[in-house]
Amino acid sequence: MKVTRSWLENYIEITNTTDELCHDLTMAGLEVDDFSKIEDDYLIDIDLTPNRSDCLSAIGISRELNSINSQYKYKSTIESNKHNPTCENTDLKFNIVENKVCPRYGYMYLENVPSSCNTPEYINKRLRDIGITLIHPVVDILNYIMIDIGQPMHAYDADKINGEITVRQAKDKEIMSALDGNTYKLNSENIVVSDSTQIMSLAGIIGAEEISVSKNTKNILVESAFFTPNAMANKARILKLQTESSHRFERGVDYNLPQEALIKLSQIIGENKICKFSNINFIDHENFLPNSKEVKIDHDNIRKSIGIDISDNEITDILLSAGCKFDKKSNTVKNPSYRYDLSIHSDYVEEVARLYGYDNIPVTAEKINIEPSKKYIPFEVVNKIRQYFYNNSYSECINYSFVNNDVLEDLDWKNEEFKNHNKITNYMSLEQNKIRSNLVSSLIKNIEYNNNMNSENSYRFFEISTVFSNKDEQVLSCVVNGDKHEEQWSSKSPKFDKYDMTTIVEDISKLFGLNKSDLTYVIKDVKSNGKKYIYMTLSVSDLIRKITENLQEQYVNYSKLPYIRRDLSFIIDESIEYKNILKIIEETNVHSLKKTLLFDLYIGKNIPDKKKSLGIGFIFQDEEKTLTHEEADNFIEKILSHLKNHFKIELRQ
Amino acid sequence: MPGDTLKQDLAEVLDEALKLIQGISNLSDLEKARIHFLGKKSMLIGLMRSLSDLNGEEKASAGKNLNSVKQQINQLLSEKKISLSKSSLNPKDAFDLSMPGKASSIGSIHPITKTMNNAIEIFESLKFECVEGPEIEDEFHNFTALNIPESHPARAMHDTFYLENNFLLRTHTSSVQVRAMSEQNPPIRIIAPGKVYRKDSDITHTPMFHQIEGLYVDKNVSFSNLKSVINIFLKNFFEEDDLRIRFRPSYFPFTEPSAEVDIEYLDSKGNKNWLEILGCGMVHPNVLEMANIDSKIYSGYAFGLGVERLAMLKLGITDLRLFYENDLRFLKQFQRI
Repeated sequence: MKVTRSWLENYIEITNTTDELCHDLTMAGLEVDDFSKIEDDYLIDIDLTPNRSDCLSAIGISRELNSINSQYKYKSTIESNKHNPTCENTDLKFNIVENKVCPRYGYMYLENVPSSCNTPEYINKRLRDIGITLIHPVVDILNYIMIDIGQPMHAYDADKINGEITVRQAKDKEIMSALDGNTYKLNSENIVVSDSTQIMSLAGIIGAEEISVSKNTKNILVESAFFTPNAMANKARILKLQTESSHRFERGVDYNLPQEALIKLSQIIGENKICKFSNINFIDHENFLPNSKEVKIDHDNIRKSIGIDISDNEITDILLSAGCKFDKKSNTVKNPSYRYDLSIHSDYVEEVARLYGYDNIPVTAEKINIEPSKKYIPFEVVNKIRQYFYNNSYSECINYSFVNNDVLEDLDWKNEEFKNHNKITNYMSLEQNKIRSNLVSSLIKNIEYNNNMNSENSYRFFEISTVFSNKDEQVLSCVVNGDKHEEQWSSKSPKFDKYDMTTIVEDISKLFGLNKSDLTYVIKDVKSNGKKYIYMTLSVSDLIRKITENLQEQYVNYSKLPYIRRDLSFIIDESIEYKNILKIIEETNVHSLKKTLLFDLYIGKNIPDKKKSLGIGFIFQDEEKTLTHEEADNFIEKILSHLKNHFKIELRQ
Repeated sequence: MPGDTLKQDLAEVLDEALKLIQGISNLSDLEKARIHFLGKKSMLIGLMRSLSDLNGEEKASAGKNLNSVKQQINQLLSEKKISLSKSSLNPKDAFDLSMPGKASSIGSIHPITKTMNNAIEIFESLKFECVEGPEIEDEFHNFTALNIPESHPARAMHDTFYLENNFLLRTHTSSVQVRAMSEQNPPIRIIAPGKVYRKDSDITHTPMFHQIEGLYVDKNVSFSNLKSVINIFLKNFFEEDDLRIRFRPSYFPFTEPSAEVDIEYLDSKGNKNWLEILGCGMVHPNVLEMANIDSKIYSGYAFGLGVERLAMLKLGITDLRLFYENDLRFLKQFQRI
């Protein structure tokens, strides 16, 4: 809402600077976006909240300033001369079918509008100052009245009206070419003003092009109606339209304004001798006009919920200053017809707090129990994982949850094909048309982006986020590319391989007292745009479930006696997974076997095709006695024979 | 063997050793020289072996001479070794305190995460408990239960991303309020951090951003308490006891009275400005009633923080979009723990 200081000064006395005036407005909830000097005046731009339709006019803002601070005194209004109608009213017939939507329909007839007439200069200037384009003297005056007192009106070329004027639902697929140059296809959701042959306007929103006022218009029908806010809500938005008029009607215009507006119109027309004008006519359905609501005021509740010490009388004074009616006997308050936002008790609590001044409300600390704060385990877990990655030179990324149609997006977090994405029906661009089902593709894009921008030899990224496939799952993904370490002088860095990801999984399981086998994860590599990426994805949701089942750490006794190590190197089928070998070793049930460690894996020269060579070290130790070499030899023999029973293995020397 | 011949031989050996060792420039040649002069097959050792053929007096004198030469050669060798070692040291032994170390193992944590954790920590110390809610929401939890009926103009304030089957991406973390109130009985004191989505993209808006919602419902909760919590939070977050904070009336369908909170900051020209930092208010009675909480007995406050905005202010970031580019030159600026 734009208004000039001088326009407000038409109604109230302003003695302070514009800066102070704007501060007062802002602190009362009428946030001033900006103000600027124009000639000897100031243009003030107020960002109004949707509940304050009463301030969508110069009068409304002046009224508000007066309730904020009575120093903004009302000026005594100069009684305008009464102007008597100078022509007969139109003999048009009206039929308000949608009387709940339009319980008040007022009109006035303007006759013989000369094509040479001009917009009165003061109106011209005020409209120009707030950036409203001049269109036609009568339309300009209607716009002026709308900004001045808040009532939107509409002017029709009266000579183009055929037959009875109806306010009705639009017919399905009815078409209207509007003043904004667009054609709208309507349905029964839309309310229109029409005559017997054409739609004259979308009620309270926009007029039809065909019947609009132009330079050559001779006679004009001015509509000044009240449209019910609830019925108007959404009406313009479903057509992706918003006009000054719809903006006001859907938020609520005072139902007393149509009359005031037409009176004002007759005064301006009369004073400036623009044309002949008729008397004012109304078609009212009073039952459907809004009622003021009586609300019982609970003074204690007001004091308690705001937290201020204020007397009953002070509360009453504040409500009266806001234009409410207060009945002392019944302790009830009634809202003024322009305040649609005052209807239940908490609305009045807010009104008191607002006019009391938020800045004047004291700061009262709450009483808090002295108990340790409760930590939220899922965040603790995720933060520990972040810390781990941080300590291992990984950088955390955060990416949008939206993705495009790349092939890499067609995988769920488990790396299985997934095409049933949640699609955004009203996406902004195809680049962001669905919700991602994995984090890996985003991280690969991060590396690609950085590779274009920076000169790194090693990329290590991770992200923790919810992904959406068949169900929501919080996952952790890390993606690496290139060397394991940043380039440096000491030694040449090895390249990343998948076992680096294995280490991460093992480390994370240790962080939470779990085993690798407790976690749900995948480790893969992928080529994208000629570069190889290695990645790991782990289900954090699943990890959190496992942790909550997990008990505290417990000490386990260990031997203080010497250990003996024996190594085995053997050739085995490449296809046999290490975990199966470990399982067989465990099954041997050698109690003194304290640790099994894989110290060598070799595939290649001197090893037959589809075979691998493993080197495993065995650490034996007993809690009770010092082991002899014979005992160790027996153990290793036992293990070896057990392995031979299960696998075809060939010992290496 | 006559003693004179021996003496002469020894002098020649010593002379040869002097010349040879002097000219050696690496350790392996020095080792070769050691073997040549003092090895098992060397002349000196051969001579020592032949001492057993001599009688007592001769043996003692020759032994003395031999040992002296051996010692002198040893001395030459070890001196040369030291001087050679100095020039062929492992570079890591020649430690330079100012040299860069090896590859760093420090990564970085995203500034959004850090800001969020920072805020969560403060609220946890103020006894708020963390909860989470789904990012894919229904209209009821995102709008209806928050006193935003379908026809309400405020729905236009939230440019919502819709999914199929009437689901949507939550436009605010306030939806978690609704879930918490239906699951817990008062007193309820929670914060709900997370991602939210709005159909908006320009310099000051990204279609996804982060919020932290706070809610406290109990008997006798007042606006004055809300002011207190927000004051404590902001002063702690910005680590500035004298931070100037102001509350001004605003409008949200789910709170009443509603407020926007501004903090005072100095712009690049050193001018004082107010900057909007969060929205809050007393929970609207309709919201409490819809969650089956008796608004005559209980009242509450709620607030919503924009994490990006907090991060930008605290870290001096001027472009919102940097958060989602994940450029290492950006990420690596935030390496502090």
